[in-house]
Amino acid sequence: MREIERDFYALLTLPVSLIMNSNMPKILPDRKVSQVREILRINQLDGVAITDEESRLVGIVTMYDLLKAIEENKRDVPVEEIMTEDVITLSPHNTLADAIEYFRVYGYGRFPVVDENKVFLGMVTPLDIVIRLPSLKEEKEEIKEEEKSRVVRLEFSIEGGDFINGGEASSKIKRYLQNLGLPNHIIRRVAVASYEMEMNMVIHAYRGKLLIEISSDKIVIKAIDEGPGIEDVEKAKQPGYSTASPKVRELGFGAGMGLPNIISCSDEFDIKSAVGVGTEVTSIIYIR
Amino acid sequence: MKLKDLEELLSAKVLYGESLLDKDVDYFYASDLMSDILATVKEPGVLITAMVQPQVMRTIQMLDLIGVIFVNGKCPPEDTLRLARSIEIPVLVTRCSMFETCGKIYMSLVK
Repeated sequence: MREIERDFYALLTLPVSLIMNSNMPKILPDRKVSQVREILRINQLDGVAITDEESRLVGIVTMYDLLKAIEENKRDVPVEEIMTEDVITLSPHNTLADAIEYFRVYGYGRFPVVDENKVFLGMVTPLDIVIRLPSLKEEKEEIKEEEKSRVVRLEFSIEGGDFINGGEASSKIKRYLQNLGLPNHIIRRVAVASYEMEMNMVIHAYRGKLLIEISSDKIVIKAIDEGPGIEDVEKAKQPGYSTASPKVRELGFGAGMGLPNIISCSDEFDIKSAVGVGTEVTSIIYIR
Repeated sequence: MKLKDLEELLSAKVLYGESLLDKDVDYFYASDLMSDILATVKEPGVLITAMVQPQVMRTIQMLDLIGVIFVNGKCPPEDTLRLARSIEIPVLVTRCSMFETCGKIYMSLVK
């Protein structure tokens, strides 16, 4: 059971670019409704992306939209007049877990995958996931190798004061690193540093971001927050120094060991803070 | 010592993880300060604490600890138990104080 679960989690971290259907017909916005319906029928598709000459996504249209238009005698109008323009998209770096979350949250039947220039790369439907999931298991090992040579970036939003979910980002980061097969002592240091950074934002900041960059030789963790900032950074680095409220101390935090812990886990450490603006903490841990 | 032995030693109630109690324990950590725990734990072991909020399970997860004993008869809230189940960490509750809990475990280890 645990083995299966672990496999499943590993699959969830794969990029959607492996799951999407990239073999989609190209449809320009000036195509007639009746033509597009014919293209969908021949290709056995329920929905399709509408793209401009440079392959940039301008909208999507579903078989339902097309049939409705035909019923309203709009057979010969250009498809751009009936397409949905305000489309929620995925980036190729989004994971399978993100895609599943999108289906759950938005309730749409498909999400186009586009790059940073809005160029359409493919479409993801729940059916694509079901069909491609079993074959992905075999591909997984190869992808792991590829991942070693490129930089992976993960980003998490942190809400100040959210003690219930505080730690969830670090927990996801830890699971991700375990799936990459990194050595345990490295994972431990990253987990402790990122957890302290995350909890610092939960305790002190209004909101913030936890960023993690994984490359073949190092892991960079950054916590960037909007918050009150730190008046005396040198003092804050000393073990035992804390400005946390009694409420936070009651939860077992605010013992003044946060920054010292991050520093002792890091190979390189940096902190910048501006009072009334926020704080940026960087921890670099080398993989060796 | 096995996790299972703690159940009897401390007259503890197992709130989760009955099937996970066959593991050996070589290290114990007793603290209510999360950052102190994060700073001191080096080997997988069991955490003894009076803190019952969900962050305890997060801390345990970051450090790969293998179990938790809540002292003073404190029952953790559902959020904490839910996390314990999701990361498969056995949860024991004892009426003993932190001092008694540590004392009993220490005595049984040096015997």
